[in-house]
Amino acid sequence: MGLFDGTKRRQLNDLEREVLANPTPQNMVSLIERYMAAGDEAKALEMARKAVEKFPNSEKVQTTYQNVRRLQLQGEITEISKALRRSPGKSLYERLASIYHSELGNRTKAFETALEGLAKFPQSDGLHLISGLIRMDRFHTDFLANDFTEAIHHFEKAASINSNNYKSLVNLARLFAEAGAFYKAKPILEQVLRANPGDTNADTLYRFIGDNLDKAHASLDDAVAEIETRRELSPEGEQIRRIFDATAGASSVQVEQTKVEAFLAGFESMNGYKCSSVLTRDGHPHASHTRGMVPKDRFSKFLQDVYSCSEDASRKMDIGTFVSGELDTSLGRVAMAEWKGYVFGILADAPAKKEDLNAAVEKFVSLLSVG
Amino acid sequence: MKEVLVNLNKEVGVKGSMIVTRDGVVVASEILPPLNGDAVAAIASNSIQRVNASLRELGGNNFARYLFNSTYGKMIFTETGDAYLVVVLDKHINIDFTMLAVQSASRKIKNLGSMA
Repeated sequence: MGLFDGTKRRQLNDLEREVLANPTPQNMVSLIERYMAAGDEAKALEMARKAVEKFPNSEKVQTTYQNVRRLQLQGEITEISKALRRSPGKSLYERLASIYHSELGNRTKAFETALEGLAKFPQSDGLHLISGLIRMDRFHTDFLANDFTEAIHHFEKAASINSNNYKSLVNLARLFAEAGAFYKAKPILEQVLRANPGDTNADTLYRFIGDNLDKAHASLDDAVAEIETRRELSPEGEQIRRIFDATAGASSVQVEQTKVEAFLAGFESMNGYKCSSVLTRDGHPHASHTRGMVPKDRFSKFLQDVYSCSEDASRKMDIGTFVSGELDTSLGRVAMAEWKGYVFGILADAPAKKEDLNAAVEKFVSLLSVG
Repeated sequence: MKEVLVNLNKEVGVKGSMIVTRDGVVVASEILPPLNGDAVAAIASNSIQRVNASLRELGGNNFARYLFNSTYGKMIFTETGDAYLVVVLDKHINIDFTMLAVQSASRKIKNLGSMA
């Protein structure tokens, strides 16, 4: 028993040293899991917080953080859920949605809870605020006009129910400003600053608007439609976003065509590989490669069709934008992924396995992430 | 067929399911709120026809399975003989577990279809 504990302790120490020397999402998650297995919830949470701060875009890190927090909050979640079944109350829904949103970072559950609560208590400014924040997050991920419109609707509703709902007013002004509607944002910020003159974000935004009034967009609808087409904010909009979120990163990158072509040619050595293609997000072929069995222009056209079809379906179903896909066909298996403004597709037949295609997609993501 | 869909919808993360023929006709549908059944049917039948048409241009036959992940959800299309089982899923699911349930439902539908 002592020897076993000693070995475990050494393994934990080794992992702690490894994380200190070279933190990666994988080794940080392993360390968090080790702390949890050892029953050290405090250290697990501390490490999970550091991991989320360091790798905010890693789904694995986010899920692990949620798991640690969920264990701590499970008692309260169960109590609230029971109370909601007995007698649904506005404040119970607000608290549950807030736990999912702020404490667990689980936007899906938070959104479902908020919408369920709003169906019963449409006059809850707290639930409108959470719904607005989630829609705003979604807008900042996918830049869809529908998410923008819904976020505005929820913030306006929250502010109309409770004129002291200061968070809703600030976020309303922020969203209008990000879309270039400075004339709409300005009076809201004046109202916010009268009540809270010390709000530095609101003050910075107010001054930014004052300095850039000549760059205001005349039509909000046109501005939002342009953002959806570009899939990014204007340079001014991006500056405003950084006032509130200094870590906000670029949603797209530029990669040279020759570099991508060389990358695709590297798949020649993969058993079962047939062809591959990379498109820009607007569907234009960027680079392609084939071993000869399938013409590369036809494969690019196929990839365009499937991507645009999946993208349409995602938008119409209000589930965001296309991230990745896999298709089993008589020609072999196709794996696809969208990342940083490019769409990658690869076709391979046996003996290539699902894992080989997943590894190909991972390589593509690394290529664009590293640059 | 409805019973198969109702049981499939009880699996964790399943938001709704339906059976759509290759030419886009809805045979059975169990789509749960807040999803709109008519909208999902239109999207599913359009997707099946568009993807199969593209595959034929590439020199292939109809697809056997298509899964796509979006920012906030997933959709799976699985061939069940002359039709497809279409399943709408939550983003946060263990896809390997759910695929087992989808494949099982797909086999049941295929058997029901061949008996009819």
